[in-house]
Amino acid sequence: MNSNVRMAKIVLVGTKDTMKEIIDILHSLKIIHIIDFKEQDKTFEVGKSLGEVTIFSELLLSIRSLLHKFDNKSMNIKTTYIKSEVSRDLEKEIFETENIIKEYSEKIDKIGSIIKEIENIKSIGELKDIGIEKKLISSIDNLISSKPKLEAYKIELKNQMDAIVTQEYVNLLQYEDFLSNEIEKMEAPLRFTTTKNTFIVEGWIPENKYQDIKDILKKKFNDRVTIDKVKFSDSEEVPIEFKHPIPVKPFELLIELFEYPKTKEIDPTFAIFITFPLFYGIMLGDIGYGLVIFFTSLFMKTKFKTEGWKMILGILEYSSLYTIIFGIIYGEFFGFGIFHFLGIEKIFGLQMPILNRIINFMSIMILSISIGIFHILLGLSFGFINLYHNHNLKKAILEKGSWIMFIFSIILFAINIYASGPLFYIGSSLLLTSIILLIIGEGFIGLIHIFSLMSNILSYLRLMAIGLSSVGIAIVINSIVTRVIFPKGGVFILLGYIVLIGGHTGNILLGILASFIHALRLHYVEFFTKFYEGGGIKYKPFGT
Amino acid sequence: MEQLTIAIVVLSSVISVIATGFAAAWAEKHIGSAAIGAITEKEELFSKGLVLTVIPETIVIFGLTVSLVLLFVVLPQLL
Repeated sequence: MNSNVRMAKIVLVGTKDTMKEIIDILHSLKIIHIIDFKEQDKTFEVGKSLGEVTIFSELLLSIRSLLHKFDNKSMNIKTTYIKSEVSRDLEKEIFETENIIKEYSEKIDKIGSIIKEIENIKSIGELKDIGIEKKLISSIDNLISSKPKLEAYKIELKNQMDAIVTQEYVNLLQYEDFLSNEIEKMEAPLRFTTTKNTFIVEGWIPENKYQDIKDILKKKFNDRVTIDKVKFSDSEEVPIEFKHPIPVKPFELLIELFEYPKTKEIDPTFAIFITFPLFYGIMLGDIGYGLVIFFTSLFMKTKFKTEGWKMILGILEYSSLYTIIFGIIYGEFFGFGIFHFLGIEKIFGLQMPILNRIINFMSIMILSISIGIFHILLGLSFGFINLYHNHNLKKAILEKGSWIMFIFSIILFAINIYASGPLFYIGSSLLLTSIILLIIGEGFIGLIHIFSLMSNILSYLRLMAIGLSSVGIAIVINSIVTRVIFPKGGVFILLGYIVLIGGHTGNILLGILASFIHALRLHYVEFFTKFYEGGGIKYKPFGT
Repeated sequence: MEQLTIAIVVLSSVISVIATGFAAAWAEKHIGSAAIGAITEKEELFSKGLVLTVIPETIVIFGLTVSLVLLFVVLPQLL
C-alpha cells in the first residue's frame, strides 16, 4: 500500500547442467533477491558450491591485505572489472609484488637512517685537533658532502616505488573486484534448493521485470528451465525497494538507520521529508548559518560520491533551506539582528522580524508544543491506519483512536481558555470516552501512558530550547567581539575577526550536529513509537 | 516578604537549570559509555547509540523551560 516497487515471488527450476550459466545470467541481470533455502530433508538439500572456493578466497584475502598495506586513500580509481579470468600465476604475482615493495621500503629506510647519522656527525662540529687521523677526517667529509646525492637517490627510489604501487594498485583492485564477484557466483548454489538432477531458486523480483527475465531464459534454454510466479501468503515479508521521487530520496537514509518498514506498514519517508527539515530549520534558524551549510554541502557533494554521503548531504541541503527561511522569520544573520542592522522595519506591511526568538520565546514555545501535538496526532493516525489494515477497526479504535480522542479533548480544553462555550462540554465528553476506551483497550495500565504521552509532547519544547541555546552562543560571540575586542583597536581588530570566525565555525558545527540529532530523535522516539514497527527486509538483488 | 519571594523565584530558576544540567550529564555519561561499548562491538549501532545518548537531554530542556517560565512569566507578576 506504499509507494514501493511491486514485487513478485518467483520460482525458477532447471536441470543441474544449466546451473552455472543461469547463475551467470542472474548475476549480470542483478534483479533477483534470492531467498536462502534452509529446511533440508532427504529429497531437497542445499546445493554445493561450484569449483574451488577456498583457493579463490585465500587469494582474495591476500590481495585485500596487500591493498590495505598500500593505504592509498588519495587514489580514487574506478573499480570497473575488466579481468575476465584469473591467471595461474596470480598467487606468485601477488607474492612478488609484496616482495618488491618490501625491498624498496627497506632500501629507503636504510638511506634515511644513514642521512640521519650524517646529520649526527655534522652536529659534533669541527673534527680537527682532536687527534683523529687526517685520512679519516677527509673520508668523513666525503661522506658528509654526499648527503644531497643520497637524498636525491632516496626521492628517486620513492618515486619508483610509488609508480609500482600505483600500477599494481589498479591491477589488484580489478582482481579484487573480479574475485569477489566470482566467489559470490560460486557460492550461489549454497542458497539454492537442489535435488538429484535439478535445482530450484526461490526469490523476489520487481513485477515489471518478470516478463524480461522469462523471455531471456526461454530464448536461451527453451524448456530446460522454467520460471513461474507463485502466490505468497499475507504473512510473508516481501523485500522492500523504495520508489520515491528524487527530493524525498535522501531521507530513505533515516529509515535505513532505524529499520525497514514491514510489508504492510505505512512507509514514513514522505512524512519525514516534510517534518525533518522543518524541525531542523526551527531549531537552527539563521540566514548566515543556513547559507554556510547549503554551500558547504553543495561543495562536499562534488567531493564525496558514495551513496551514504550523498544522502546525508542531500538531507543537509534541504534542511539548510528551511534554516534560511526560519532565519528570515527570526531576522537572524550569524546572530545579528539583520533587519535592525539594515534599517528595514516592514516588508509587505509585516513587522520585521516576524518573530524575535529571544524576546518572544513564549510564542515559539507554544508553536513547538502545537507542532508536537500535530506530529504525534499524525503518528497516531498512521498507527490507526496500520492497525485497521492489519487487524480490524475495533482494535484500531481501542488502541489508537482512544489516544487521538484524548489529544483532541485536551486541544478543546486549551481553546476553551480563550473562547468559552460549549467546547468545554464536548471536550469533557471526549475525554471521558477516550479514557473508557483506553481502559477497555489496554487496561488500567494504559492510564499510566497518559504521562508518557505528556512527556512526549513536552519533548517538542526542544525545538525552542536548542534554538535558544544556539542563538545564545552566537550573540555571546558577537557581543564579545563588538563590545570588548574591537574598541581596543590595532591588532585587536585582527584578533576580533579570528574570534568571530572561530566562534561561529564552532557554533555552526555544534548547530549542525545538535539540530540533526534532536530532529532525528523527535522522529525516532516520539513519532515512530506511535505507529512504526519496522523489521522489513531490504531488496538486495543477487550480483550487487 | 516581597523581596524574599522574588529571591526564591530567582534561586529556583537557577537551581532548575543547574540541577537538570547535572542530571542530564550524569545520565548521558552512563548511556554514552555503554553506547561506545556497543559501537566498538558492532559499528552499525552508531546511529542508534547517538540517538540514545541524547535522550536524557530532555531533562535539561525541561529545566531550561521551567527556568525561563519562572524568570519571564512568574517574576514579572511579582514585580
